[in-house]
Amino acid sequence: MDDQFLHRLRRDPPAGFATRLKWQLDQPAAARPSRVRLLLVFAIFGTAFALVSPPVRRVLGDLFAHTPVQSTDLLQLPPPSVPGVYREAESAPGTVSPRHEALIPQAAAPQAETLPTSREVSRAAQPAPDAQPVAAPAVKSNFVIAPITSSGPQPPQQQAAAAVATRQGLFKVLGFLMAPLSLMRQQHLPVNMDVAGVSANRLADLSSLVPEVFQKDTRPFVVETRALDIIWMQPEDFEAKSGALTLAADALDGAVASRDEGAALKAIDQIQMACRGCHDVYRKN
Amino acid sequence: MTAHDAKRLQEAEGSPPGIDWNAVYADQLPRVYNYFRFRAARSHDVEELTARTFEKAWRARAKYRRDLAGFSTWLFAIARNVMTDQLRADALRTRAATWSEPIEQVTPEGNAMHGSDMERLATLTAGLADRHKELIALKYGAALSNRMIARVTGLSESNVGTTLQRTVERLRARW
Repeated sequence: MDDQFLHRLRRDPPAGFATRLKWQLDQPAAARPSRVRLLLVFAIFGTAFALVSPPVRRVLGDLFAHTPVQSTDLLQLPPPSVPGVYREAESAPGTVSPRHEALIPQAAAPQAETLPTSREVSRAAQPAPDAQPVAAPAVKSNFVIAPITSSGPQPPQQQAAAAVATRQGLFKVLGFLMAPLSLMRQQHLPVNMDVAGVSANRLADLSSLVPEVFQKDTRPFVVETRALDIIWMQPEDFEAKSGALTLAADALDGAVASRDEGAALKAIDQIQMACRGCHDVYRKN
Repeated sequence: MTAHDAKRLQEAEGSPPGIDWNAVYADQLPRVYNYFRFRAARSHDVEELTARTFEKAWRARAKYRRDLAGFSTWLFAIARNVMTDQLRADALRTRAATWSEPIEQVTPEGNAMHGSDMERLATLTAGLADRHKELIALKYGAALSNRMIARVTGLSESNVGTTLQRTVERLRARW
């Protein structure tokens, strides 16, 4: 095949461009964070900043608070029909003066043991006692506001719970992106290259976050998770398996680019195999 | 960057031992650059797309633990994604139909001859399907073998060879 006329069209890249690009690539990776990471960082810090600012806390407090009850009204509260709920309000430090404390039915104390563990945790996270807020023992608001307004670093147990929630959120999104691809593969949906392309791009971006969200080792904590301990025992293999998902998603994007339906379906198979390969080893069935 | 620095960086980034990233860069840059020249068009677009491809690949290269041939396939999968993203943007979609020649660092004679070749090629290939243009760019821009093109595109090797032969024959007949 005489194709020299095509070979002759190749050119070397300009030297200046090659040098400039090499210099950029040699910069430390931390100097070039991805857009997704930047957005996540801004979202996390923005939310944290908003929650600690007084106006926002006040608005949230107003939003969730019941009609304020004066301290004198506390004496007239009817006996609690749901003991656990009142126990939560009564036991919050500083919400009841010593004089009122004496009026609380003694029978309420043992019922506290029936409270769920998470409530115990959120109570432990509350700030130091303060005598001033006695006037607003808004019963329901204690449940909602306490975790939001608690300041200072989270206890390790809460950090672990937050890490699990983040992980599960990421996998929910990955599942959401996989759903149309699986339906196309099973021929429940016609193959739509545009949808597949969008899903592939997003899967490739988000799957790169998987090793990051597992950086917090939650093995020592009691959390509801299907993640197996082996993840933190062989992190390199776990990272390689998540990398396989990224590569498979890239392959799907390539297939979509060439508008090759057969290759796209093969690439979806690869994605599913990458998911399964990781789940078989690192997830409880 | 000294060789020692490069080795330390490689170790810190968890790269597979024995991979000389400087050599990989020197080998792959002309391929990726020419792939985009065949696919994209203008000089500044070609450089931008090449840079974007290498930045994506370099950022994730620590995760890549397979052989270098596989790395090349992976790199071109990224390059094709970058090209697809760019083609989705309306601005470049119209430009992609017309191939033109970058004008830096060439003699006026060479530039004129080369530029006219590219314009001629652009005219000839204007009627080709996008898939055929892609194969031409991978074969003659990126200088990949048919086997590599098959791995990158997901087509069979014989399909790549047959399609390329027909396309080149059509182009040569009108060259």
